[in-house]
Amino acid sequence: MLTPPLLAAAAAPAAHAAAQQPAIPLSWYLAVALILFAIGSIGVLARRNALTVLMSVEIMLNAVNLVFLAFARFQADMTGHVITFFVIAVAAAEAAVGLALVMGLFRHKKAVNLDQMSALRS
Amino acid sequence: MQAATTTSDLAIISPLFIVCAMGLVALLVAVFTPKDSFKGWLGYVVAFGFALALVAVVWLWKQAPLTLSNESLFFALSVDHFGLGLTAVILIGGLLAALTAVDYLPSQRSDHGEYYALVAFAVLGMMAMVMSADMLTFFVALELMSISVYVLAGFKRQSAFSTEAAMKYFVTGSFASALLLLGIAFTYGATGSIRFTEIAEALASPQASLPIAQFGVVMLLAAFFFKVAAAPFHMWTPDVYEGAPTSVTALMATGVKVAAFGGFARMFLTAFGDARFRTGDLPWETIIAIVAVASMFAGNLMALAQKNLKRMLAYSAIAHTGYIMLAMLAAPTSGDGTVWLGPGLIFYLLGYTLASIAAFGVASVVSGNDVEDVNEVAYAGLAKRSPAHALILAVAMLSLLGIPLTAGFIGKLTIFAEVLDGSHNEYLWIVVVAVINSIISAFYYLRVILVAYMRDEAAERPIQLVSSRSLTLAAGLAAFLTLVVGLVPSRALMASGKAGGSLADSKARAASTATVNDVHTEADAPATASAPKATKL
Amino acid sequence: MNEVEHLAHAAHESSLLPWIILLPLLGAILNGLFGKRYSQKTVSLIGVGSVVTAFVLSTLEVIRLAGLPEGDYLSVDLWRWFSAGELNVELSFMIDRLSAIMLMVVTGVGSLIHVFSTGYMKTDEGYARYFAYLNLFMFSMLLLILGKNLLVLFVGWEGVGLCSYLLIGFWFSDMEKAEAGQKAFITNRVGDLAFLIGTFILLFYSYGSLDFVGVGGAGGLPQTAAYLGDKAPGMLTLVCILFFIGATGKSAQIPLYVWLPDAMAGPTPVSALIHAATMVTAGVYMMARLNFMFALSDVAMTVVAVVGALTALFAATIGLVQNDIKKVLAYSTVSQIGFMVVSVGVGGFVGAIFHLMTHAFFKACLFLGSGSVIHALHHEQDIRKMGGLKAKLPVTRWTFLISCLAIAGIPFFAGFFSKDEILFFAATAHREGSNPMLFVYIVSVVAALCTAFYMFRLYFLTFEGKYRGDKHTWDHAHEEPVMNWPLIVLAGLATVGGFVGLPHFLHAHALEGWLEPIFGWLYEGEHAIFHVSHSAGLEIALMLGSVLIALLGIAFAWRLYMREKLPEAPVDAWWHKLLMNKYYVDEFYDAVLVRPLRATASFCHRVVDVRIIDGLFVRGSARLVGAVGDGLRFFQNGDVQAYVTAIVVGIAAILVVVEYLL
Repeated sequence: MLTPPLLAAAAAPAAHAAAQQPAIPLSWYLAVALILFAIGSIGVLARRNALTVLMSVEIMLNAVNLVFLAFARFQADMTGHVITFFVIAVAAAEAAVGLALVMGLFRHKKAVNLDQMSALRS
Repeated sequence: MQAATTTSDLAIISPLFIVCAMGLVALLVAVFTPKDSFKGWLGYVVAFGFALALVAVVWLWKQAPLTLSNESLFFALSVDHFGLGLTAVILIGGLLAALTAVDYLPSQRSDHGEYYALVAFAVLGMMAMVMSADMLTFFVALELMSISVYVLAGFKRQSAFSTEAAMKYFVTGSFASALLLLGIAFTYGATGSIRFTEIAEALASPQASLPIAQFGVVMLLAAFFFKVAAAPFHMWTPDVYEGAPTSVTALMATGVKVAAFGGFARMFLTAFGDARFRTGDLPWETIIAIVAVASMFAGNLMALAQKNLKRMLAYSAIAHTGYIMLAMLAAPTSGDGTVWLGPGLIFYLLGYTLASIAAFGVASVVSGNDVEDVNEVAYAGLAKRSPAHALILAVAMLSLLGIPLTAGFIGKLTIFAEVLDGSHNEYLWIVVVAVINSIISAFYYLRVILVAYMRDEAAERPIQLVSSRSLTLAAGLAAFLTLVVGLVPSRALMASGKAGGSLADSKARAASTATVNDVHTEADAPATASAPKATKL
Repeated sequence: MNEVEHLAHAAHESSLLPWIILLPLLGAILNGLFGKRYSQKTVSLIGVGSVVTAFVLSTLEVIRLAGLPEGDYLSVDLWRWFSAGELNVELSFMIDRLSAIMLMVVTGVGSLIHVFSTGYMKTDEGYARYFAYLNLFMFSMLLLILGKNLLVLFVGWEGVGLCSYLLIGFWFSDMEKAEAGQKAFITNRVGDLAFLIGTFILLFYSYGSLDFVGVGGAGGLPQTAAYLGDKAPGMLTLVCILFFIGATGKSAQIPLYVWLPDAMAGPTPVSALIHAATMVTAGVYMMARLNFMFALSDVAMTVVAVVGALTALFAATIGLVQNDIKKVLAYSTVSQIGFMVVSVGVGGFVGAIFHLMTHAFFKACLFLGSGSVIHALHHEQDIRKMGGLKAKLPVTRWTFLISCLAIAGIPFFAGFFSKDEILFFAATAHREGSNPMLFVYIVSVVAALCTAFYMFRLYFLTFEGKYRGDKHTWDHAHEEPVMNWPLIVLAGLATVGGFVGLPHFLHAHALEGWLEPIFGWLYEGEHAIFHVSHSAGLEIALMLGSVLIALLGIAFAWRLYMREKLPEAPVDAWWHKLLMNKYYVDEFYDAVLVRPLRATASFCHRVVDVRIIDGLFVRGSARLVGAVGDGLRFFQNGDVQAYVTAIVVGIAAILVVVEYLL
């Protein structure tokens, strides 16, 4: 496998850490992450408040971060860690746009409930 | 490798730089110009930037495939014929879509300069998406595009429809982003890499954890289906297409779709392209076949019932997604597991882009007076009010329908022939379904022409046309190109074939560069081989 | 490839050919885009001028063709349209001896009808638009007949259909009223579907091209047909039947004929051009073009002959009782095309083309004549309110009478020769080892009897007897001079046009000689497929029989309608009701096809989308997920969340498919 020097250098200590047997197996991390992801999804599906939905999306993204970190840790690879930072940055941008849209919604409806948006339908 | 030494990295990514710079310029200018002044000229500036980037793309095309010497860039972007070809399609779509907005936005009382900056950034994201060679670049590019388009969809702030469309797109879109990330995470977990070529290698090795990869691929597929609006992941499409400002809808129907198809096609065919995965352990090909059929039916049957032109075009976009997905089925695998695409996918996307711009351009024209509801009243009797626009609309509809002499016909024919040829008639049934579907689609496409040509406008509510030279120019150019590409498709077909064929090289090229062996891969060989062969028993 | 050698002829480059096609397109573009700014004179000049010029150029090219060695053709390859693997499709056109006849008919009759239209549409506000559509139609029709391969033909095929809808609905400003256009639309779609599937199958078996002529006898569709006939006769029959279904759509045959009578809603010159002389015969032309394919399939040809004969009779009987002048002519057109289809079915390709040509003359004349009547009477179309018009419209009357004589088959008008050729073929032509289809002959003869009757019923009711309408209209009735000239020319052609195809026993069948290079191999040589009687006596006997039949029909009409008091229509008789209601076919289609289709669309909309997706999946599954996740609260459903739910359901479905089904 080819790795750019930058990442390869950074990955060296991680490889060292992974050599020691971790106390908690990988599947536990994954289980927690998937449960978090499911909680986030259900929040998006079921909550009517747009702000809560936004927060639920954040939970989903963080669940994915956990997956990345778990895999990175267990494979002794830095890529997963790097991705996490990107995800955090993108999530912030998404949240900013989301909040702006919620403001827009509030201006029109004087409420921030998603179920009040049904003017567009077949 | 020879190419890499002659062209500097900066030159290789110059299309991305140009578009990015234009976006920044537009943003700065927008901030420092008075609020009530006309901002349309910024549209011309950005369009000029797109044109400049297009020139750069053409220049690079002649030297492709190019290799970036900076290592982190090298693994992030692959500037091959595939990426450049799709970038060209995206730029054409973006250019024409930017022109449609110049006079349309003032007519909707939403003339803000930031619009053009956002368009430029969205296009930048699309371009990066089709060139991306690893999951991280892909994700960031996709988000750059998506977030810009969320804002654009809600750009008409005073309109409840526009805001609602943006909110709906945002909620569903961010959900899909999370799915995409989850998919990336699991593929990363299964293979230990985020680079497409390395994922393919890792999956081929016996240690790969296939159940984990399988879950990841399903999530990636879901994100793909969402972005290209395939049934049953399509439900946001009609609402968002209808509510968003029409010039934004034009960009969504063209650029976003092209980028999503291009990016995901590269991802699936490079990373999961091995025949073992396509129908075996990671059966994305079978799933795509099923979803394609569902999309065709969902799109066409629902389009029949629509009165609103934009909404109808949204459902038609869903149906077209179905047709285009067939092209991915057609991608054949050679003996060593490399995959190449025929010309169908890229050519169809080009034809679809042109026809969509023409159609949405006319939809913008007839939504004067700040009207959002582009129903039949808006364009009834258009032939009498404005023959040129009616003609453009007719050409667009005929191309979407796939009538000969238009680009749409050649596109459909190429894809169908590829599917028959590539699958050794295994997918004959799907072609029959597609032909039946395109017959169904005739009902609503031709109805638009009949309404535009035969019906009188309702006297009680005459809708003022947006009079705009740039809009007419963009839509007219798109319609004209539709006919040109339909009449003389050979060059476009050849270029598409070359672009599709270049996908097969990416793996070989990565290997050759990694070992720093100067193995020159013949770019043209797979391209010529990729053309559908004898359609004979 | 021995079987196709007889079709090998040399091509000659033609530089005029593209202009013949482009001129009408140019006219359409000019009038369509800028027509509003032009004066009516300029519009006429552009509209008529482009078609007349095309006619002149066509004449020059056909004269050149006549000077070439027998069987050679003129052609022009513009450029390679596209190629996919071995398949190369050129954008190319050709004038061979078959398309030359069509070319002369289409541009010639087309020119006359354009001239007629300048008078007929004089006061219409959509004058420029009308001429733009008409020119666009001419362009499409020329693509259809001059296309060198199946795909170019298909372009024209779709184009004429589109123009036809535009022109049928020309006077309708309300979509709801434009049912007629819709009906034409739906039935033609069915035909086009069959045509497309047929094309795809041929594409599949093609030898690198879909050209109608092979290069040096190899390649192209003739070789494909020969291959299929040899190796897969079942597939060949299927393809032929598919193309025939396409033809029934365009050429208004059973079961897809229902649109043509309704298409009479358009302006009358349009009916004359599109729905009598040119477009509706495209199906016959297409089958003649593909003669090398149809001739090889016994089953398909039998189907063609039987359907044609039944259509001829069926439409003729409906024509017996119609009271709308244009409806009578419409059913007559359906019936006459039925004769052409019979001719194709029994192997008489020459007869089919011959009748196509003469029919174009006399039916265009009849339609234009009816247009003249309708114009004079301020859009009155009910023949019960006409009568005695010979005093007011002398030119129209005489030309109409001549055409009626021609269509009835009175010697020596044009229709006499062509119809007799068809009947002669129906009575005697047969394949090796089989008998002539006498059933087809008998049905055709009965149809011919009905034809003579209803045409003269129409003539007597319109022009003879006493006027039965209101006085004001009568006083203002007059002929338009510019509209008379086309009538006279067409009547002249309907009189003498038949002499190009004198009966076989005279051995002076000019048309057959002209078409020999194309159809000759069917009857002579080692690959001959059809055998025709050469008995002069039999031919004369059949001819006398059909003259008697025609006279009988005219006599009946005379007896019934040349009286002071018209006979009461037996409105209560079951057969009259049946005929008046056109055998209830429309009602049948409405119940069996149209309503279910509409119901499906609204079902999809209301039930599938609203109920199933929204109700079942969205609310139901969201409730399920909500119950799992929240447990206590009832799930509050908003639309966006419904969409997200659909995504989740989709993922679940994919996972199920991946895990358990594959």
